[in-house]
Amino acid sequence: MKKIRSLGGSVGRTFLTWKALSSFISLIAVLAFFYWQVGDILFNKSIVRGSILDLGVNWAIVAMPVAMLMISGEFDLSVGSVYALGACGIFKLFQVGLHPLLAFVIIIAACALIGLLHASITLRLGIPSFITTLAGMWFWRSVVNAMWQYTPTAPQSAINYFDNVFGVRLGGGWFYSKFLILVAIFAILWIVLERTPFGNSIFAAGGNYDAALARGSKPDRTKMVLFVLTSTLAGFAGVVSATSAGATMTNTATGLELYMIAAAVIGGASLTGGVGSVEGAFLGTFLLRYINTGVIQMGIESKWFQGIVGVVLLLAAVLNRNFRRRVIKRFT
Amino acid sequence: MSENDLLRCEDIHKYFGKVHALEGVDFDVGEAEVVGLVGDNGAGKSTLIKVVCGIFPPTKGKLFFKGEERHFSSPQESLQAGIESIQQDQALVEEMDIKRNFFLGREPKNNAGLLDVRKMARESMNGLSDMGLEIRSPDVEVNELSGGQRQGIAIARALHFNFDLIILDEPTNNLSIKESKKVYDYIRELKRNNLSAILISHAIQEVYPVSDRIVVLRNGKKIIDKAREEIEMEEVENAIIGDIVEEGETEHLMM
Repeated sequence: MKKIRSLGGSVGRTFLTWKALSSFISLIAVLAFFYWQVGDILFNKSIVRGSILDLGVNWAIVAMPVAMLMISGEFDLSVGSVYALGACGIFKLFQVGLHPLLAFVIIIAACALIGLLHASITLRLGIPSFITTLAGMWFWRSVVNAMWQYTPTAPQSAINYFDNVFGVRLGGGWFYSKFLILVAIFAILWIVLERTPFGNSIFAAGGNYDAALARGSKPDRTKMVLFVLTSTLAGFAGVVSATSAGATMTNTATGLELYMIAAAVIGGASLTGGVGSVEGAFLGTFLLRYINTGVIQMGIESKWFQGIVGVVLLLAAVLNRNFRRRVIKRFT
Repeated sequence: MSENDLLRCEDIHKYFGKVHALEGVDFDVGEAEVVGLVGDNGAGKSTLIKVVCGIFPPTKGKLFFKGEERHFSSPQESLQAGIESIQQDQALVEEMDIKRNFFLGREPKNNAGLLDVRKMARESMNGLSDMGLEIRSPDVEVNELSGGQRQGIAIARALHFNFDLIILDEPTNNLSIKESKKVYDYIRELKRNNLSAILISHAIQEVYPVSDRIVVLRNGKKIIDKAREEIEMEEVENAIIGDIVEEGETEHLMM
């Protein structure tokens, strides 16, 4: 009996001190609100597969590394533009007739190099990443715009090459195969952050840079890896988006960077670094997708999407700051 | 200066441009010895420590550690050699829990190559309780702890990893009397384990109770180096603020 109670206590404690609790609570609250407003319309197969998961997968692939980068104390405002570069760039390479796989390797390598460039400027020259990646946001968007004067197109055969990987309906039609890729990326990133020495160095780099340096935990190397990871996955998400939708636009993912930061913050990340989680960013992304879909289903103007995101963002930040402190004090 | 000194600095000079920050300082620390290094702001004590830690090289002079001449060119090198420097604001990451802080930069891995969280929890708690520091869980974040507990963790960590020399910067700054006494206990625990320590402070009261030897720097020179029994606290205090004018000192001041 005592053992059961202590097990229950330990599960309860783990839950209450869970870093992503605020995003979980917010998600449940938002789902309950929309269920009350529009009923189970948000939970049918085509809405979940299409409106929630389709775009949600592309976004979550970006939100998770963005959160890790924020934990290390840095920002990446260029993810929307790099995402567009991935999407429009791979169409360009398809069009010039490269083998789809070669096109994929080239575009992913290019995005990794962009991350390396952002990291080098930030870390070597001591420019805040907010500035470096803001510059990157505009620069890479211009590159995309210069690449296509009209709507990007690509041979259907090349698109199908990837759509057959990313866009297969699975689970009785509830999701596309790319959702499994997201789950795999999630699992890897979670383990990296929570269960490796490298993950420990991420928290330390953002929590107390000088301490990390003094302990020999190499914070600059850690940040460099994360900049590269973030750009690489942003480009990858763009490729997934363009090939699984079969179309893209030069202005795709404009403004994505701020939603990614919102997802990370809803998931418990702080703007000053040192805290946050992969699962929080994951849940935060799908929360954003549900708000987006929910306001449309409610028939209120979709302009209210941003308004509601703003309110939820604030609520989550308040939960994180005030509620979490007290819970931790009590239960650890 | 004996042959079996743990650390020996010989005739250390350091210039910053034209500023002569250290003017030929000899400084040594024996085995299992606690040395109080005191001086006013700008006396050269932190410059000396930065030379010892490899943050910057001396302009002139030799540094021996464990009997070998060393040229540390980074804090990592001195850390690897066995010198642990605990700056108050660089010791711990506040948002991280105790176990993660304890093993930061030297994380143990399990068979799968992943962080051995259980070992981290167990050994960090053992390390703390060995020193008489009881904290309810290894999952407690450092920002929940008092200043004394934080010093305790930093010292326990140095003990656990078997550093030979621990440098503590203002070890009891901002601590209550009760907590300061605990920190002194931790420092004595270091000694019992045959480790040595340098305690840096501008206030002799802070380091006098626990030091074996007192070294006073003033204007980049060593003006006192005596066993604690041979010197009164007042005498040190006067030397720090300069009531005792040493030979050559007037000349220096006039220049």
